[in-house]
Amino acid sequence: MASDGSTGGAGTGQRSVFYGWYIVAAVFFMVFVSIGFRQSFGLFLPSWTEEYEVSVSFLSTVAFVGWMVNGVAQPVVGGLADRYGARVVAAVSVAVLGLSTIGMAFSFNIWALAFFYATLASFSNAGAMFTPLTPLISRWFVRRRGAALSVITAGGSGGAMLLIPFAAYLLELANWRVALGVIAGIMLVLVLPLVLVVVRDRPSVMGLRPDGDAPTNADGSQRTPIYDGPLTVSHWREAYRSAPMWQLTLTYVVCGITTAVIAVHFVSFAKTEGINETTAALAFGLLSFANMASVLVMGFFISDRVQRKNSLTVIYAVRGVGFLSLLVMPSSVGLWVFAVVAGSSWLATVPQTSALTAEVYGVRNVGAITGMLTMVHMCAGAVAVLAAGFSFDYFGSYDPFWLVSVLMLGGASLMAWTLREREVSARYRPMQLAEA
Amino acid sequence: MGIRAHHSEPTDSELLEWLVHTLDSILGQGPVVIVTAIALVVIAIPLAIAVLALRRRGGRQA
Repeated sequence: MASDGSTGGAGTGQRSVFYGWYIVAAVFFMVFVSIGFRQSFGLFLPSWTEEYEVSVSFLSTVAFVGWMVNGVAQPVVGGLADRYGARVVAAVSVAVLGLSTIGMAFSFNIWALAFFYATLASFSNAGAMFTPLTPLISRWFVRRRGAALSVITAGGSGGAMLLIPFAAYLLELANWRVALGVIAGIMLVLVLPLVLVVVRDRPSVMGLRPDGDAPTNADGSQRTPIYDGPLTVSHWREAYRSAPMWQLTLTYVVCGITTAVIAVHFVSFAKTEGINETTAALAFGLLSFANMASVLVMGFFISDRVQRKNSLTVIYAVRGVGFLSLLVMPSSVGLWVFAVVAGSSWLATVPQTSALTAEVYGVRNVGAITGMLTMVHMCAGAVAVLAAGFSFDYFGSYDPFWLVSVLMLGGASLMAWTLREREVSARYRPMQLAEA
Repeated sequence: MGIRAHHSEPTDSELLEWLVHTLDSILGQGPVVIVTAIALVVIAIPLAIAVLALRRRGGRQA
């Protein structure tokens, strides 16, 4: 949380923290829990395979279906957030997620568990993550939008770092049903009330202005929030008629491919290179740290000060260098270089892409548009995971896939660089329009 | 300490198992202590946010 130095509309003359930062903190915790829970799925696999006598490949199929359902749900929850507000979407999503987690905990056959996880939990999880939060944060922040979105993104990293060990130790202390029950309790007893108590859809309902600005300019004229971009659309489909949407989509496809393949295949890659599991895991720890640090540094010190397309250009180029290190360096060195270099680019694309989308296409439909982008990102990632597996089976090495990744990331970097942000972003062509 | 997936990719179960063993050796505490410590943090975060937000709102109305 940070003070923007304004009175936040308090009218008391005292410096106070802008209320938007409390909303950021609340949804940070929501993302923290929802992603932490989502990523702890792997912890439960041994318990489920033992209790239900099912194969890991069956549970992997359940995870894959859940992944796709979560992807397809993104534009749906984004559209709902545009229409009904992020607060209600997030609250309902957390409630359903908590209840479906209880359903999982009480499942006494694998099909019931698979149903709760792959459908209800996966769908509702989308409403408790980044997509519906883009319109929310975009309404509360204009100048500090990149920083606010970055804090929320970092919540995903923090949740995984804290809740995965938490769930692991709960499993050790009790059993998987108790562990899921506790996670459900956190959602229903802590996250849901927090969202309802703290989150408000727009600053105007509290008599505030985005970024905590004063209601009038220095000359006494009324200050109107800038919510619309030069390419503002009245329906998300219209966005596909303009170049930036395709540029953002294609770069996000590359993002999805390169992150998903590493998430699923990296341990396997390390093993084929003769690197032991502990070293691979330590490299991932470093990757996590680099990721969280880079998201926050970029959010607070860079994102809102330079063109976002330049940030994206650098992020994709840096990730490309990371993949190149896997190709050209000895594996024992390349692994660590990759962890630092590619790790620093890992989640940094999310706040940049979300903020840029809001500034180009306006706030009214940004939930649905970022939902479409996220869905494509996830589906591309899922397909790429399969493709990488086939590629390994055919070539006996991951090198061809790393080479393709380097080329794609180079293309994505170039694609981001060619985006004419100064012409299409509200940051550079401000328009004084009515509040969304 | 886990693979940073963007959205919902599950983390590798072998890595998670390694994580528990590593934390055990680093912290030297039993699971009860660690679960209690993390639970306190997880409870404290939303309570602190809610209290501060409500105070902020109360301050505005005053």
